[in-house]
Amino acid sequence: MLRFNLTRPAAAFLRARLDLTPEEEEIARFGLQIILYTITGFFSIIVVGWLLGCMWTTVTVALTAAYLRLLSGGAHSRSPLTCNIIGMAVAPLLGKTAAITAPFLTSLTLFLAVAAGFVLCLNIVSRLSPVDSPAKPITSSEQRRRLRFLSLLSVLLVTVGQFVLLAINEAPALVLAASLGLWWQTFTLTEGGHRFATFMDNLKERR
Amino acid sequence: MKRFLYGMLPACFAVLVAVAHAGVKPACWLIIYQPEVPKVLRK
Repeated sequence: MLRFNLTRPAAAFLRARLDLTPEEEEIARFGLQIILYTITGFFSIIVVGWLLGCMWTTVTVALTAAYLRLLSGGAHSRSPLTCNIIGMAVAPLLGKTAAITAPFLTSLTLFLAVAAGFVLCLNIVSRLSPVDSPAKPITSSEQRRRLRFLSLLSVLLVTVGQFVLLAINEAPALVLAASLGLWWQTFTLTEGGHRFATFMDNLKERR
Repeated sequence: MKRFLYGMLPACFAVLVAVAHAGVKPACWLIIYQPEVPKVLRK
C-alpha cells in the first residue's frame, strides 16, 4: 500500500544531526506532518479546482470546511493519501456545483438555501461536535464544551458573512460555495460521514 | 552552503515544535486526515 513516508526519514535526520531524544523526534515528525499534509492537501485541491475552471469556489469550499473542521473535528481517514484523494474530489466537485448552479438562483432562493442550511448545520453541530479521533482524543469535558461553542460560533460567523454578501448582491457563487463547504463538513460529523470515510479507506485497501 | 543549511537545523526544529504545539489545540488540523499526536504533547 502506498504511504507517505517522507516525514519519518526527515525526523530521523533531525534527530541524528541535533542529537534529539525520541520524544523530541516524535514532536518534530508531528510538526512536519502538519506542515506537509496541509500544503499538499490544499495545493492538490487548488490545482484540481483550477483545472476545472472553478478555483475560487473550490478554495471557498475548502477553506469553509477546514475552518469549521478545526473546531468541530469530524470523520477521519486512516491515511493521508485517502485524505488527499477525498479532498481533491469533493472540494472541486462542490466548487463546480456552486459555480454552475449559482447563476440560475435568485437572491431569494439563495437566501432561503443559506438560511435552511444554517439551521440544519446548527442543529447537527450542537448535537454532535466535537468529533474526535483515536489519533487525537479529546479527554477534557471543558475542552469539549469550548470546542462545541466555538464550532457553533464559526457556523454563525460564516453565515453572517454569507448574508452580508447576499445583502450587497455580491459573489453568489462564493455564497453558495461557502454553504456547500459547511454542509460537507457537517456531514462528516454524522454517522453517514463516518461510513463514507470508512468506505473510502476500505476501497483503497482492497485495490 | 552545506554548513549554512546545517546551521539552520535548530531553527527548523524550533519551528516544527511550535507548529506541533499549535496543532494540538484544534479538534482536527486537516480536512480529513489526523496525524497521531505524540504522547508527550497529550495532556
